[in-house]
Amino acid sequence: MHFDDHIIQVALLGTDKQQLNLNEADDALQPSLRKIGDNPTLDSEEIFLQSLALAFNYKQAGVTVPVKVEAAIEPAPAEEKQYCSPAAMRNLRDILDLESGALLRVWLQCCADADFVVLPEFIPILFDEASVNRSLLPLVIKCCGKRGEWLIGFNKDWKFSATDNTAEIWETGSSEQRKQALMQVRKADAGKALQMLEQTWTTEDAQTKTVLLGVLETNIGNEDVRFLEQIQNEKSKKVNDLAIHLLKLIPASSIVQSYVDALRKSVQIKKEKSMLGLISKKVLDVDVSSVDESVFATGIEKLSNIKDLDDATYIACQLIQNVPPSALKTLLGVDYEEMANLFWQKKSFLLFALIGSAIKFRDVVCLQIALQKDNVNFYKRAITILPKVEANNYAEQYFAQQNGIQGANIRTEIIDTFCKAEIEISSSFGAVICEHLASDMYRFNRKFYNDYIDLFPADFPAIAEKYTPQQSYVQSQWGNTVAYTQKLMQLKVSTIHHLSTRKNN
Amino acid sequence: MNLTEEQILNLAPDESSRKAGKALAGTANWVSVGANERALWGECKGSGSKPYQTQVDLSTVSFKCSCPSRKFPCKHGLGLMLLYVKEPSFFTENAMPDWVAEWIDKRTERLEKQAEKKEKVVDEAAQAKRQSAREQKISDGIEELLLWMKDIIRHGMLTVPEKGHLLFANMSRRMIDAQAPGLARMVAMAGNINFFEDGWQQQLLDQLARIYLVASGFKNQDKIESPLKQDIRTFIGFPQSQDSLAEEPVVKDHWLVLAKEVIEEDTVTTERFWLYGMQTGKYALVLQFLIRGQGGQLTLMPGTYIDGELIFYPSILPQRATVKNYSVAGNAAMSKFFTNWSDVLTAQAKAYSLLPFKNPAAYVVENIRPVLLNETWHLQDEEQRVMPIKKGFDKLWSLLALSGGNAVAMSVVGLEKEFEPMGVWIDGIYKVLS
Repeated sequence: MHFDDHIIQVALLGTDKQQLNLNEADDALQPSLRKIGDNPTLDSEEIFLQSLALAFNYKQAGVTVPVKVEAAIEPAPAEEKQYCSPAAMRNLRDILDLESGALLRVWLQCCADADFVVLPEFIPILFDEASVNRSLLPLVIKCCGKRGEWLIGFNKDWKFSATDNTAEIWETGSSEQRKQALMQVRKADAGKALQMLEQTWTTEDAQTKTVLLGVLETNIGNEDVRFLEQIQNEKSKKVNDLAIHLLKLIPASSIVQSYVDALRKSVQIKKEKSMLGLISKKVLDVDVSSVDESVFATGIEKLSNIKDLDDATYIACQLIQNVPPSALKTLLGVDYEEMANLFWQKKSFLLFALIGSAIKFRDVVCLQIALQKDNVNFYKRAITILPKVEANNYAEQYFAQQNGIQGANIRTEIIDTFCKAEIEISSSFGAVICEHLASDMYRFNRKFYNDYIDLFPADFPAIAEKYTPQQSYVQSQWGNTVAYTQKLMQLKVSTIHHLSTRKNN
Repeated sequence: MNLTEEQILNLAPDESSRKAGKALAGTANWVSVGANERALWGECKGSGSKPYQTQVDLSTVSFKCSCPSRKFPCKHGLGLMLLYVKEPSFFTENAMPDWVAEWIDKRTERLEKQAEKKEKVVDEAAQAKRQSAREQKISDGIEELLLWMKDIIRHGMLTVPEKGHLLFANMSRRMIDAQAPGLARMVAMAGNINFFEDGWQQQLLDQLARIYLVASGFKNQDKIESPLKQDIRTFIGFPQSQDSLAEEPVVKDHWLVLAKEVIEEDTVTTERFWLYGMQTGKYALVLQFLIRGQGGQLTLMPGTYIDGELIFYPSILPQRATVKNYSVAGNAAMSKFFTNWSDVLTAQAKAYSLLPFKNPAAYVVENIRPVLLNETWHLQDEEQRVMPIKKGFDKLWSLLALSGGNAVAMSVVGLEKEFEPMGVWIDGIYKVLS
């Protein structure tokens, strides 16, 4: 037995039970150990402690390290791309310090577009960021170059993030994780996601079915009809309702087609003569008496719960809302302009339904025409469908009209809609929202600007500086906020400048 | 001023100061600024009616600010330095205003006074009496400590894991009562061993051996000569006054700050700076103790070079040092390396022969590469010898990213058979791991 092991053995048992056997020690140690052991003035514990101290020193002074040739790892391959300039790296450091997710994305995108790579010391930081926000991962991998690819192989957490582990999550993850995994696949390949869901459908419980089925709303299409129609007889009402809701989003589904048929029978354009028969004009005729009863089993209600809306128009409105505007146009044989006019003249609720349909089926042309007729009501979801310029103009038009507490909530919702849909804010709309941003700086704080500064126009700090809150107590705070947005904007501009072209470096 | 933005940010006491300092590095925040070779100053807009007066002594990178912050340096000091690095042209004024000149003069005066300071007249009899009382208290404590160790050895260590931390905590407290804080720390360290991990027996025995060497060394101090005697007293916990260093030789060199480690314990923050003398090849450990709210005298930035005069505390193995004076200096090429682990271990063995219970030491080793062996990271030298990286090392990814798995010159700190990298040289530039 090695002497160190022998010491441990004695120490564990105790000197009451076992004494040190000096013969176990190396020859070089023995004379000194014997000197200690032979000292009659020392008790056995003292002998042990002195021997221990001697052996300890002997051991640590004689430490050697083994030769292990096979222990080498393959070094990282040489970097093929050019490193970012020091100025660009400083920008990255600033962005990381400010914790601005929006600017980090801008920086990474610019870096990737310019085909640069980051200095190696930033690679672990960026991979850690990407582990938290997986949507950054493709950009991070690109910006970290060969060194990053090499490094990722050693870190299980990063490797896990970087590799496609969807199948594993789909099989073993929590309900939420599975939903995210399915969503990821759905965005990239709608058919594959449908296939995954079909394969496990019978083994899922009702709650999970509801969670996962909702994913199909993303990139929904004709290919989903078969599955959604198959599952309409599920035991769970929630699943059934959701399946019907999804089918209503697909123009080719039998539900939508049944609505088209119902509308064909119930909504028609007739010519009416006026001025003693000298003038003939088109009018909309709504008669739902011949609508097939089966449509009422799909969620269409018969009785209106709105005071100014009769039951027949109410049914027609529900049908219109669930039929694509293009189908309505064909059905009625008029263009969008005329259709919107006829609906508006007949009953404003019909126009609301048309706008609802245009939003639902993302018919931008119809939406633009229909919105021109209705300058009273505001449709928040229209912002997400309209082109950027129109979305800003539309939001701007209604933003200023909102007053009171409810108005403030609507203003907040409008800004939230821009942020969630990642719609760039125009200078003009930026100027309009300043007052609201200044009125609720607890909500619209630094984190808000950190997260969404990329959506604000470059001249926003200058625009915001011109606005002075009426309440003196918020003026200083608003000043600080403006200065902060200026800092972020400068950083954004500087990032774009330093990473825009190679010649800048 | 030769400092980079990164180096200035390393001075920040915490992450929030770092961010706040950066936020103040814009021209809009400053009412007035100025700079000359000796100092940097500025008036920063704050929440008060008057702007804060911020000043930096560039010769030693020392800060003063009229803001109420207890952090040191405060965000204004950091912001001012960062602004200077970013936009030196903004600092057009070079004549120091009165409030700056006054502070700089006072500092110069104080430094001169310190240099000329004569020993205070002390009541030697009272001092000797106090000293004797303390030594008696320590001797009594050590008797109890040795008895406690013998008890453990007599009855066996098998029951130690179930007794756990409390066994050591009680004895550690007893050592505090005995005015032997060094021994108290050593006992507490034994209690920090993970008794549910393989190899705890060896770790505990090694620590008991160290404690025994120090304790019995103190008992026999009359037979031991200085400076080993001084080492034993230091390990027991006797303080070493700065005044006692007056007669020690000054080591002048171009020092590279290899690393900075910050340890926070209760209200005391200990900053540990590892320095390497480029000409002398000496390694120094400089400690700075900060009580909450107090600023430190030293603002050494890892990865930078200083021209400084260091005084090493008396020891048979001089390592801990104090900085007498210093100024920030430019880069210098590294020349003296340990060539492989055998070299390091030879130096270590020599050190053990002088001081068997020594603390971890720093080394700069040439051509070291990180390698993975049995799922554990090691450091491999040119002879293919591998040294395990210390457990719990949290800068591995920085090490791998910087080295790319290639052999690089590396500064490490460690003891016996476990080392922890602190920084690497990439293309001749020293980079601190983070």
